[in-house]
Amino acid sequence: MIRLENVYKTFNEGTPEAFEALHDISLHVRQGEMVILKGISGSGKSTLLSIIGALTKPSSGAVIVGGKSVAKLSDLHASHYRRDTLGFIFQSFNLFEELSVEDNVALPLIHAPLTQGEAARRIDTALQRAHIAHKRTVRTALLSGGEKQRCAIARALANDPAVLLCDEPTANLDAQNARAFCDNLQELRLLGKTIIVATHDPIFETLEGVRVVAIVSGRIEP
Amino acid sequence: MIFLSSAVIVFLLVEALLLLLLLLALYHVVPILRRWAFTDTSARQYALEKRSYLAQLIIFFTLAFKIALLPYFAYMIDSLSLMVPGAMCAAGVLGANEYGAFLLGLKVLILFGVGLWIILNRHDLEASDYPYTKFKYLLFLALFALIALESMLDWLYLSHIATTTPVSCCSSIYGASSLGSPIPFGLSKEELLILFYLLYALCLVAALYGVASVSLLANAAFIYIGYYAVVYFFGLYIYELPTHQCPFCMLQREYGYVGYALWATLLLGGFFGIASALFASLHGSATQKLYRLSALCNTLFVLICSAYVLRYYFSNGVWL
Repeated sequence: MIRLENVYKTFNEGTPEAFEALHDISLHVRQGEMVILKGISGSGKSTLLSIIGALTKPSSGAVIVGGKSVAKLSDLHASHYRRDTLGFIFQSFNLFEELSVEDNVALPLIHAPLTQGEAARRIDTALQRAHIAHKRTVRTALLSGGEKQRCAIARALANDPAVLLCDEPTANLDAQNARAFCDNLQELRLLGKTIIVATHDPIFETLEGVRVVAIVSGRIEP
Repeated sequence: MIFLSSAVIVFLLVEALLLLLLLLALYHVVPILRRWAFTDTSARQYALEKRSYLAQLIIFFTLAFKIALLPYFAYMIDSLSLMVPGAMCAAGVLGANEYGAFLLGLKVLILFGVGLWIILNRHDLEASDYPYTKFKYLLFLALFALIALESMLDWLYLSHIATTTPVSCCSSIYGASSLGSPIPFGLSKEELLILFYLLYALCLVAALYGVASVSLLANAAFIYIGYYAVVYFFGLYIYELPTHQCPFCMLQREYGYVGYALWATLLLGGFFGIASALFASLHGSATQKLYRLSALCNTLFVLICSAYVLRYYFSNGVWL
């Protein structure tokens, strides 16, 4: 599903401030697999997620997702790839607080080539899978932290993505909500979603059937 | 001294600035042309893709600006008629030395090249594997050479306009005394008019059915015949004078600047018609949007031309 081969990423290349964030990363993630990228802040986890998400281009190396070389995509095709293939879940939720849960979930579908009926069906499914359907009309500003993260999950699921990318998703959650989030991810993995989580939260290592990949100073620890 | 005109100073400064930007783009384009290999995942190829992104941005901005500069050039030349003895419009100023007519032709040619580059660039960015990158930069090289020549000619032309020597203007260049011989193929006005509307119909049919070769030929012919039809027939109704034949006076205020709309729609209609044919062969399928734009511009051109004739007839009850 996801294949990275000899990926390097250096920021500020060719300047005295050049910083190598990733060094010779090779990784293969199968469909339906959950991979935990474990490492301290600044280890390169988020950079790796950005590269898989076609938000950043590598300095060299190949990034293949679903048979497509995503590191080579133009802006237009990268946008389509993100819209059609990926769901993002962030540490700070990145919700529109003035909009309702339902409207936030509908946002990724604005440019999707779907009928109104199909879009409504997808929103319902996403809300139910993220266990937030009962709050669909509530403004997200009025939600608790755990509910906001469930809303973020629903939004990530709205376009029915094959891959979920999560960047420190439990950093703003208490232990109970973090556990609920992990359980939710497990359900999604069992539905066949490929999931990559960048985190330093040890709770993910306790999950069954996950693969933990440690990243230290931009390199994968053997 | 022609360089005392603020319009000329602005024009030359902008031209120089655009040439500098294109030089900067050229600096990035040369290594791309030499080493581009899209499927390569090496650091060099990724660096080239970044440079290509920058180069195409500079080129697009500069070339888009060049399009806006052509009507400004026409306006500038027209405004210089106040400084050149004997000139009453841009016709006299363009004929003030041997560079003028060639320069105008070159500018129109560059405009066509610029349009092709912009369309090619768009197709390149819309594809997933940048299939036209090398081709569009080769086209850029050709355009750069033409634009460098144009800049040189701009300088030569403007610096050789004498402000003390009288020049011939439209009345003697296109005047009634020359009528008969200047219309191509020895056509009469009536035959010219019939050919004009027939070619327009052919352009429409070609656009409607997406016939690339017919669109190419019909639009090229329509630009040619359209120009003569305006100068020797429709222009008479714009000026409301049976003896005034000039492609430039209609750019002036007393004629509502209608010349800008006329020449722009004729050139754009022709360009989109020709480009649709060229890109049909490049893609193996006709580009419907270009056909539609060609039909729209050609129709606007014909409507503006015809409206002047009908307005004159309904106001005066006679034809000129």
